[in-house]
Amino acid sequence: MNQFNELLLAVFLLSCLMLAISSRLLHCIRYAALQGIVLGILPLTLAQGHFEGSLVMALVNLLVKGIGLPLLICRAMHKAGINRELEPIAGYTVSALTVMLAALASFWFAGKLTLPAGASEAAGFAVPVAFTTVLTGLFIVIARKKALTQIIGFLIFENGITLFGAAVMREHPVIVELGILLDVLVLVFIMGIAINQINREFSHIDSDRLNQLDDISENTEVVK
Amino acid sequence: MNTLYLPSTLAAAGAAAAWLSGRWPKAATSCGLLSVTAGMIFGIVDMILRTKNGIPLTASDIFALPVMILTLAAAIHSVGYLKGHGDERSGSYWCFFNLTAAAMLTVVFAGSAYTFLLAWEVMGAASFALVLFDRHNENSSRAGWIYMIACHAGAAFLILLFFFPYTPGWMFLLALLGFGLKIGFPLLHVWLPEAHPAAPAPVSALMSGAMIELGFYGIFRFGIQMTGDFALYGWVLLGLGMISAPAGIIFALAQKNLKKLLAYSSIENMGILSCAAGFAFLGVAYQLPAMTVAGVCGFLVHLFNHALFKGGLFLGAGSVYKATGTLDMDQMGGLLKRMPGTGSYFILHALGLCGLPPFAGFAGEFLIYYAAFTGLCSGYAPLMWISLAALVLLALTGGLAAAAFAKVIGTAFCGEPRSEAAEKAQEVPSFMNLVIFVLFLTGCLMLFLIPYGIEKTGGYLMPDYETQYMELAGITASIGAVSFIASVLTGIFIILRVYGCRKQERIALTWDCGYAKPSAKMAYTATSFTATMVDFFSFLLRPRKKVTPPQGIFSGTAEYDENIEDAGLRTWWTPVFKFFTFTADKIHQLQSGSLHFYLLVIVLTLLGMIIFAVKGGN
Repeated sequence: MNQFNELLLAVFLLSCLMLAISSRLLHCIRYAALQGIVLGILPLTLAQGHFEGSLVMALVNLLVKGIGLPLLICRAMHKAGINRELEPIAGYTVSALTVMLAALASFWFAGKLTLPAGASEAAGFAVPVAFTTVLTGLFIVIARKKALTQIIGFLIFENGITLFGAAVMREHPVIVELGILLDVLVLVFIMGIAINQINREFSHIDSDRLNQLDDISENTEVVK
Repeated sequence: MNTLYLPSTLAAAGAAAAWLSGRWPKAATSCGLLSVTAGMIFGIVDMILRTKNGIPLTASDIFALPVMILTLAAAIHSVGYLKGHGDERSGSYWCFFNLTAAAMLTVVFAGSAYTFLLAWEVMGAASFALVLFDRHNENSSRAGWIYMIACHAGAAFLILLFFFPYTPGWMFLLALLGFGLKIGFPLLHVWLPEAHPAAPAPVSALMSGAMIELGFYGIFRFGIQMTGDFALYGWVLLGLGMISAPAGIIFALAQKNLKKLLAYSSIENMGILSCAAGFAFLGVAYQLPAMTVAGVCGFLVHLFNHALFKGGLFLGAGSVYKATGTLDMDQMGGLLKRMPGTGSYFILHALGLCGLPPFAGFAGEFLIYYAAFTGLCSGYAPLMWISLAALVLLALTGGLAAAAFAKVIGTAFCGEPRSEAAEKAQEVPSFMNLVIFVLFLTGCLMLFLIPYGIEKTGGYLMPDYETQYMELAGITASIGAVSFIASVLTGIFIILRVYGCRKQERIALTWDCGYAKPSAKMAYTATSFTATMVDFFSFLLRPRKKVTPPQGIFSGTAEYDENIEDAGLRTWWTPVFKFFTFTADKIHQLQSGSLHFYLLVIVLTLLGMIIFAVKGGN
C-alpha cells in the first residue's frame, strides 16, 4: 500500500513539472485532470479508518477535479479560440528550474515541520509534494499571461491544498473539504464567464494588459 | 469655583459665538472681541487680586500673564487690522483667534497630561487656521502646511513623552524635540520664518510673543525630572541657546521682509531664553545659587520683555503692512513722517527688545549676563570657559540685534519713500497705535515690578535661595531707579529741545548729502544697508546673488538681487525631504498595476514568513 502511495505522489510531482514546461493549453488541462484523478484515489489509500468519509471525498474530487473542471476549462478554451501560451512571462526553461527549486525548498521545509501525531505514514512524502504543488500553482498564476492558464494555475494551487489536507488530517472534516471544493467550483465558473466577456470585449485574454489598477498610470505613461 | 479656567472658558465661548454669528461680521467681531477681552482682563485682575491677598504667584501664572496681556492687545489691534482686509470672514477669524487664546491659557493651567496635550493640539490647529487666513498671500498655504507638519511632528514626540515615560534622559530628549519644534531650536526652527510672515499680524504677534514661549513651559513641566541630571539639562539648553541666538540674529539681519526679520529675531530671543535656562540648571548642578537665581530671574524677565516688545513690533509691522500693502523693506522708507505714531512706537519697542539701557529689556539681559559672569568667576574649569564663550556670543547677539533693528528703522521708517505705496501710506487709526504704546508702557512698568516680583515670588518658589533673591532684587531695583532717573532726564531733555529752543525749525529733504536733487535711489535700501555684514557672515548665510552690473558710460539697467535661504532648510531639511521623496517614488513603483507582480510580491512575502517561522521555531 505504501509503495502505491509513493507512486501516486511521484505522479503528482511529475505532473507539476510537466505543467510548468508545456505550452499547449490542452496538455496543461490534461495534467490538471490527472492530478484531480490522483487526488480522487489518494484519500482512499492514505486513509486510516473512517473509510466512508474518505469515499465521499474521493468520489467528489474525482468527479469535480478530475472530470468536471477540466471539461469546463476545455470548453472555455475552445470558445476563446486559443490553444497555446505563446509569450509566457517566465520562459519554459526558467519555469522548469523554478519548479525544481520549489520542490527542493519544499523538501527542506517539510523536513523542519513537525507533523501532528496522527498523520499517515506516507505524510512524510506527501507534505513536500503538496507544498511543491502549491508553489507550482502560484508560479503558474504569476508567470503566465493568459487568463486560462491562470485558472489552471489556481486549480493546481488548490490541488496542493487538498493533498496537504488528505495527508495531514487524521479525520477528514468532510464539510470543510466540500466547502473548499465548492469555492473552487464557483470561482472557476465565474472566471470562465469573465474570460468569455473579456475575450469578446478586447479580443484577447492577456491579463498583463489589464494593468489599470494603479493610481499613477492615468496621467503618466511611466509605469507599464 | 476655580477661577483659573474662567478666562479660557470665556474665550472659548466667544469662539463658539463668533462662529455661529459668522454671517454677520459685525456681530461676530463684537462677540469675539468682547469675550476675549473680558476673559483676559478678568485673568489679569484675578492675578493682581491674588497677589494682593498674599497668595504667591505660581510658575503657571508667570507664564500666563504675558499671554493674557498680549492676547488683549492683539485682539484690539485685530479690529483695526481686519477692517477692509477680509472683514467678511471675521466670524472664522475670531473663532480661531479666541480658540487659540483659550488653548494657550489651558496649556498653562492644565492639571493633567491629557488636558495639556489636548489644549496643545487645539492651540496648534487653531493657529494653523489663522496662518491660512490671509488667502491673498501666495505663500500662506505653503507656510500653513509647513506649520501644520511642524505641529504634528512635535505632537508625535509629546505623545511618546507622555505615554512612554522612560528614563529622565529620554524624557528630556523627547521634550526637547517636541517642544523645541514650537520654540524653534536650531534645525527645528524652519516653520517660524515661514508661518510668521504669512499669518495676519496680530496672530503673528500672539504666536511669536506668547505661543513659542509656552514651549519652555512644556520643557520645564514635563521634560525636567527632579531625579534627572541637572548638569546635562544645563549644558544642552545652554548649547542650543548659544547656537540659536547668534545664528537667529544673523539671519534676521539679512532679511528684507519685515516680518521674516522679526521671526528670526524671535529665534534669537528664544536662544537667549534657552541660555538663561541653561545657566539656571548649571547653577543647581555646580551648587552656585547666585547663578541659578540670576538665570531664573533673567529667564522670566526676558520672557516678559520678549512677549511685550516682540508682540508690539509685530503689531507695528501689521500697521505698516496695512498702510503700505507690503512687507518688503526695500519698498518702504520715510514711513516715520507719514505714520508718526506707528513709527515712533515701533522704534521704542525695537530699543526695548534690543536690551538697551533705559528700557526694561536691559534688566533681563543684565540678569543673564550676571549669571554668565557668576559662571566665569566660579572656578570650575569647563563652566568658566563655556560661560566666557556664552558671554561673547550673547554680546555679539546683542550688537547684531541692534544692527538689525537699525536696519528696520533706518530703511523702513527713515529716509525717502522708495515706492509709491510707501509714499501714499496713511496713518492707521489711533487706537491701533495706542495698543502698541500701552504694551510698551507695560514693558516699562515691568522694570519697576521686577524687583518686587523677585522678592515676593522668589522666596516662595525656591525658599533655599532666599538670600540670593534678595540680593538680586536689590540690584534690579537699582537698575530700575537709574533707568527711571535716566528716562526722566531724557524726557526733560527732549521736551526742552523740542519746545524750549528758540531755534528756527528747518525744513529740508532727508539725507540729501549735498546733492541738489536727491532721489530715493541714492539712499540705502534694506539690502544694501546690511550688505557688508551679509558678506561677512556669508559662510553661514550663503547668499545667492544675481548681479547685472552697470556697463559703459551711459548704462542702461542694472540689477542686484539677493536671495537668502534658511540654513536649516538648506543643509538638513531639503536633503532629508529629497531623500524621502526619492525613496517614496521608488516604493511607488511597486504599485505598477500589474496583477502578476502583485501576486509575486504576495507569494514572496508568504514564503519569507514561512522561512522566518521555520527558522524561528528551531
